[in-house]
Amino acid sequence: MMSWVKSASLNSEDVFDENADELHLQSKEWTSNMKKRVMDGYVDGVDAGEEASLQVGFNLGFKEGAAQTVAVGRLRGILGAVWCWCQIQHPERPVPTPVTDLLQRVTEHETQIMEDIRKALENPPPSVSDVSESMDALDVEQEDPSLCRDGGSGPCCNKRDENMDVDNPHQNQKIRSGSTSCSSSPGEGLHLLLQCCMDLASELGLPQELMDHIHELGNIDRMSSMF
Amino acid sequence: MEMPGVHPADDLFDSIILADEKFRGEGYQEGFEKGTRRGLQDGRRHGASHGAKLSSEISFYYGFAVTWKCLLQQSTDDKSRKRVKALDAVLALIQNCNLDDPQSEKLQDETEKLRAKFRQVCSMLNIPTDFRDYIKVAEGTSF
Amino acid sequence: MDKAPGRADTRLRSGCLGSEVPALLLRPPETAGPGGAYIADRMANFLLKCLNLWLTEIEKSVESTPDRQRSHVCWSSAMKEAISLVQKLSAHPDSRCWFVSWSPSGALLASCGGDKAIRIWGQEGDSWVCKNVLQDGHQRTVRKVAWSPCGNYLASASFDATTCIWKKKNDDFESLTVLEGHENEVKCVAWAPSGTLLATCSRDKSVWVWEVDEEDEYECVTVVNSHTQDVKHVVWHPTQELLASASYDNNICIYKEEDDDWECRATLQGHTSTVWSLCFDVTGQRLASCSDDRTVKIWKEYPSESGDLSWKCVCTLSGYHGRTVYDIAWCRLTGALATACGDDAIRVFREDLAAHADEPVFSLAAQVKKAHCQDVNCVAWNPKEAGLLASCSDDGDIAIWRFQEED
Repeated sequence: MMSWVKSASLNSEDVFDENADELHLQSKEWTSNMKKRVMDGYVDGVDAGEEASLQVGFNLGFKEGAAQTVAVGRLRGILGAVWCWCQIQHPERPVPTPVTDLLQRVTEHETQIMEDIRKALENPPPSVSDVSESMDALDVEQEDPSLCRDGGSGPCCNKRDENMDVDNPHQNQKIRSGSTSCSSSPGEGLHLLLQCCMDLASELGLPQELMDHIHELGNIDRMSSMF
Repeated sequence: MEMPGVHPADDLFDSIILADEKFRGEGYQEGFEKGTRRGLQDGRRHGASHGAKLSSEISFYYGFAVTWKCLLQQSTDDKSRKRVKALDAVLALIQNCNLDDPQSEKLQDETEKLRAKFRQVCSMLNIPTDFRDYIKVAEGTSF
Repeated sequence: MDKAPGRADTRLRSGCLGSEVPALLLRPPETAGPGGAYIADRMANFLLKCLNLWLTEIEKSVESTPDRQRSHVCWSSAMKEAISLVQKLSAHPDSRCWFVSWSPSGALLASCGGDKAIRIWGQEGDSWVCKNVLQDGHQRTVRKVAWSPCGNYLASASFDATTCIWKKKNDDFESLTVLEGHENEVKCVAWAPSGTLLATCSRDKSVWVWEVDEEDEYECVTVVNSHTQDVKHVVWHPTQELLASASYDNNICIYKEEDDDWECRATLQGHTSTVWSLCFDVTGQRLASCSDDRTVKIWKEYPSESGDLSWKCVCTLSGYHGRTVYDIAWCRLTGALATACGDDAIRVFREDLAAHADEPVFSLAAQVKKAHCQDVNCVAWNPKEAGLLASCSDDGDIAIWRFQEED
């Protein structure tokens, strides 16, 4: 920005070809005026740029966010249906605890995903001056899809998380760390939940077709990490 | 963006105006880039939140409908047949919900239709009222 | 445009779907041009605003011109004591009486109210007496009641989110089934002329259609969300399987079955506030609506090429009602149109049969200004005895009137 202001004072000599003192004063005033012009333009430009890109960003984020909850949402739907089925089949006794528990865990897992997204929303870039940082982030983002095109799941998954949470370093402890042990813990992986659901379904003697659907969710989850 | 340059002009006044425009315009350009970045980021964050929420709701319907279809497949009575038909209608409506374009008016219409159909299915399946309440809370129907 | 920091946040927060959609998300954003173009844009904007303001002023001045003055003259000169009180009944004491409904034979009148009770009234000698009280069916206010076309069933819609079906057995009524599904207050229930379909509507903005089988089993066949607000009333077409609903969103929707699903096929827009009630005329070619905007509108069906339904407003009765018009009833026997109003009055309008069908003219034939002590909630013409009219009010009373024309 400063360079333009300098060039402005140079140019001004062509315009005001009068005596030197006067020129100096004039030039000073001219410079400050032009500085002000640049600032005015800048402010309007920021507004207009924001206006123009907000929707584009929204649409992009919408797709990304949507991909994150497909698998877990479906799993919740499956367990919800099983829960209702148990209750309707045997209204006289309570729904088996494992069903209720697992439904609860899946719901919590989903809430956690939403919460993470919401947190990213509540912690916008700390200050307006962090332009370069945001710019880097933006450049990386735009290349993102091509990076993922070769279909690798692991690295892309991390990449996406980095980009999404560029302004919130503490956000990076995402839940998609995968399965570890069968005991439930905050931030347990979806794969563990899927496995538990499979076990439960076979225990209840539910149709094979349903097992296939549960199994399929594992693939969807991997797909969604490609965004 | 096309900006008027400062050319040697006879009219002093014109030159001033042109310079004024030029600097304003250059500031504008830089601001525009900055604003664009900021807008993209802000929009993206909000979009992610809304997309996740809607997708969660629709995916829930999908899992629910698919599961009930599996559970009902053995029964061949008239009532089950009607229920399966309604479940198929839910699944068909989900097919129509394209989350790639949150701006489309069609998405809004289809989502509303889906919600209505899901409520009908719940009624047909005699889903306990307290479970329906649970669904409502889980989705946060704040749309 | 608002330039406060964080404005993107406030604009986007409300969500991308549903009624609170920020305008920005639905339209591609316009890019403001730089420099001069920018200023020119603003100037143009300003001029447009001025123009719009001016146009609005013109519209307002047109609207405020009093219409139907002629009708006023008509009734004030010709009206005599055309409505006489037959009997007043303290139907739901210390509560509101929300609705009354005549049985198809005209022998019984059902009423419901804020006391959660339904009462059945019948004639003994010259007077109307309470025959039954249906209690314990609902946990909250009973908002509407409707008789099945055969007269053997009564449906009641309640603020407790349920609809009860009562079966008439000899001289008693027993609760047959409870229809659940609405999220909150059920505002209205109506039987289709066939008796095999039942419609309900609710504050949850939805309209439900239920199918009844031979074993008295009820199954929901559709849920339609065509309104954006509380749905106040549903009514069936007298001869076709066509359903109309009225809502707090100022609109009327008309539904038809298509491929096993009910869809809104026409939205009637014109009222400027809540539409409280609807009534078809005897043929079903016209529909009368009444509203919080203090008017009554008559809508007529027109054939359309697209196959969609086309209804147009052919008449607006304004200037008669001092407050919200809560209910409207079109007599199937005489064609007289009765209204229930928040100004405590009941009114009866007659149609000038000499007028053109596309521009019907209605004039006030009679009114009772202090029909009740409080808001009149409902008016109902007896289906068999011409001129017999029942009304009910927030004061808890039912009034039975006789309307006689004096030519």
